[in-house]
Amino acid sequence: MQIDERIFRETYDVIVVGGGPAGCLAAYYAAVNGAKTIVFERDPVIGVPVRCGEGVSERGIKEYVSMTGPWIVNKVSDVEFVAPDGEKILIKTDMVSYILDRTKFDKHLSEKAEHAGAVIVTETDVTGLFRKHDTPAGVTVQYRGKEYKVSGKVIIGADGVESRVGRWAGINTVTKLRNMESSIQVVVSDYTFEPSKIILYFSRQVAPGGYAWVFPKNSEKANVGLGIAGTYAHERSAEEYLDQFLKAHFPGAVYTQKTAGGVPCNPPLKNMVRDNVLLAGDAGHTVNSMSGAGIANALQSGQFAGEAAAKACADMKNFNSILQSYPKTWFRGRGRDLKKFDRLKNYVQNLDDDQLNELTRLLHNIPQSEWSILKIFMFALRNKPDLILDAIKLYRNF
Amino acid sequence: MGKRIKPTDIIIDQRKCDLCGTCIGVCPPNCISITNNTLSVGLNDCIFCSFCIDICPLKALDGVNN
Repeated sequence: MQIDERIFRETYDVIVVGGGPAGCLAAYYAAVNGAKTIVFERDPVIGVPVRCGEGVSERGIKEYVSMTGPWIVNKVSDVEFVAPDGEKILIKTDMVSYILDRTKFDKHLSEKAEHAGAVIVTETDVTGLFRKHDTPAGVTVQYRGKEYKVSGKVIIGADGVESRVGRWAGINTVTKLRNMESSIQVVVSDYTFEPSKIILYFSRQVAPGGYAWVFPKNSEKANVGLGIAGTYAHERSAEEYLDQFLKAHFPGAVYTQKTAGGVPCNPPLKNMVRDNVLLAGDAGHTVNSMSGAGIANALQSGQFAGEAAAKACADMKNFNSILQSYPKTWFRGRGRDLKKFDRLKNYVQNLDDDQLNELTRLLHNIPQSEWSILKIFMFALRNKPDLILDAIKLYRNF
Repeated sequence: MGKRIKPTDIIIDQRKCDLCGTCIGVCPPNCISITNNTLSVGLNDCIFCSFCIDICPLKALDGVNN
């Protein structure tokens, strides 16, 4: 893409760092509300590569995209849990989820942002913030070997797992080793999958401190991957665990598109705003730390960050208080349950294989028609009454 | 896990690195960066905690002790 260097010399209302779902939504809502907006993306093409399982609930995306677009590739409603000893629990839910084509999905979101008036510049590295009178006044970028200082009133860090913008601004966004899921995924094709269900494997042998997943795109193609907690990653890498998993469960499978990635499974971030810097998506620690799900939360946090940024720029007298309202809106929205999920994660992550097998056996003593996600949690948490309350509250909010 | 020797240098295998940025997310001094599609560790600020080496899904980083 050839761009006019003059765009780096303009002054913007809103600078967004990162062109993933959070960044694109932030840019769209900033631009649609009248802010002069630019997005910087490192990769040459928005949506490539895909570092994502691509599963999302209908509730999480229906406000933002059409359910009939080409970015929806499969509809799933069932979840199968596989215990360490191989016992299976199939839960049929009324909740509709989709497997996305993230390349098409992200491209669509970026086009929406552009149509709303935002400028999106790819192949640009953001290397830091610069300050005027002690306050961030913009970002330093590198584009084709040249450095530029781009000025902006509000900076939205949507820089994903790296979350460097936040740290440049003085927010401690570093992910503790134990909270980072070291992850890897391949696309398995020419194999047989049941397209209506996702499969999750829990076992210390398969994926310590995490789980392995199968997210089908159709009856012969699926995203197969796993994540392991950072504290288990020293001896063997996620890649080695995945090689072992593929050999055991998909012998002879042909796979392509091996991609690495990190899922920051943190407790919610208290300060998502510092001065005129807002954090959204993975960079703002919005991932559901129990499931590792990130798309829906990235979208909504991006929306709220973009709206707050545009409103603040249109009302400079109340600039700071409007920016400060962003986390309040977020923690009334999808951010509301993050703390409860994190408490549950810390308990569930510590269950060993014997406990997981026992839990599965207990569930097999009740009729299959009564199996539900909530019931699984009730069993898992039977010695933890305080966490049972968390689980019930979360279930009500689903 | 054997007792680990603190490295004095971090080596990156650029052919293995997938530029996923996971190491950057766990780096306490924020001294790892990706520019021009290349990962680099700023050794001036590095505290040699080895988190980046551990977390890499592809084991593209390694520590050496000179």
